[in-house]
Amino acid sequence: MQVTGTRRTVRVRLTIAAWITILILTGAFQFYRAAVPDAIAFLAMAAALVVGETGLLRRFDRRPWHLRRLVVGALLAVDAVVLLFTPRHGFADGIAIAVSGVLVFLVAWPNHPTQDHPLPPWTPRLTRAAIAWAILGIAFCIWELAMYFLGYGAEGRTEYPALSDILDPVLNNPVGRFVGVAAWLAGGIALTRRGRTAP
Amino acid sequence: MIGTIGFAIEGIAIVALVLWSYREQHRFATFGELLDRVMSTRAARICILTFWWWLGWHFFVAQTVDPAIVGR
Repeated sequence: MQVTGTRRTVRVRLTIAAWITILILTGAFQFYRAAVPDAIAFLAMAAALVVGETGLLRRFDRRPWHLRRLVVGALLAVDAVVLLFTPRHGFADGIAIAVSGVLVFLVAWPNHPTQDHPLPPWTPRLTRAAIAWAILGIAFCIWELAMYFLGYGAEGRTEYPALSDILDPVLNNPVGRFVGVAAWLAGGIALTRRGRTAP
Repeated sequence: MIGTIGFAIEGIAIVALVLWSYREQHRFATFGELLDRVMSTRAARICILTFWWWLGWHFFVAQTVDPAIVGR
């Protein structure tokens, strides 16, 4: 029993290390792109997780943030208005998204009381789904990186467009921007609600 | 053109996987169930939400398209 518990602890720690590694690698790539604020965000989250693993931030674990629906609705409305009606890549957009990020971090950081119990085991159903989604995710990353690096050259970035090259003109269109903003906000709401109950 | 086709194929595969998971729920967990399990750990939760946040930052705030670098 002790050996099984130790093996599970090692597996959990390896999983945590894997997620932190993903953040570090992504942050490093953002430095390569010379996107310094982006890199800082990823590396700051990696650092926060590392510090969290030491137990230094344990005091924040039992104070989950429960924002009232009215507050969430108001924040969503402000975000939507700013992102839709102020100039794209503008200062107001930066403030809105930065503040949204901080709030989402504060909501997502504390472990919910149901998460204090041992994690439920990986069932065959979950494992099959995880493998399938991991294959799709890795394939997407490889394709995106391939297009990104192949797209550089004297001809410019049109020969092998990365996803950003394809979506950028779409988001310059009012309808495309509306869909993009709605999708981003809806995705944030959906993701912040995940992981709160054991499957 | 090839880049767009590749992303389109990826998008179709994602939709197909979502529909397949709802059809074969007895053998295949839905994406929501998978996220619930994965995001029950803080590291996964923070990592995934960081990527979500970065999508907003990248497309609405920062420079979205990197300039062509001649000779790279």
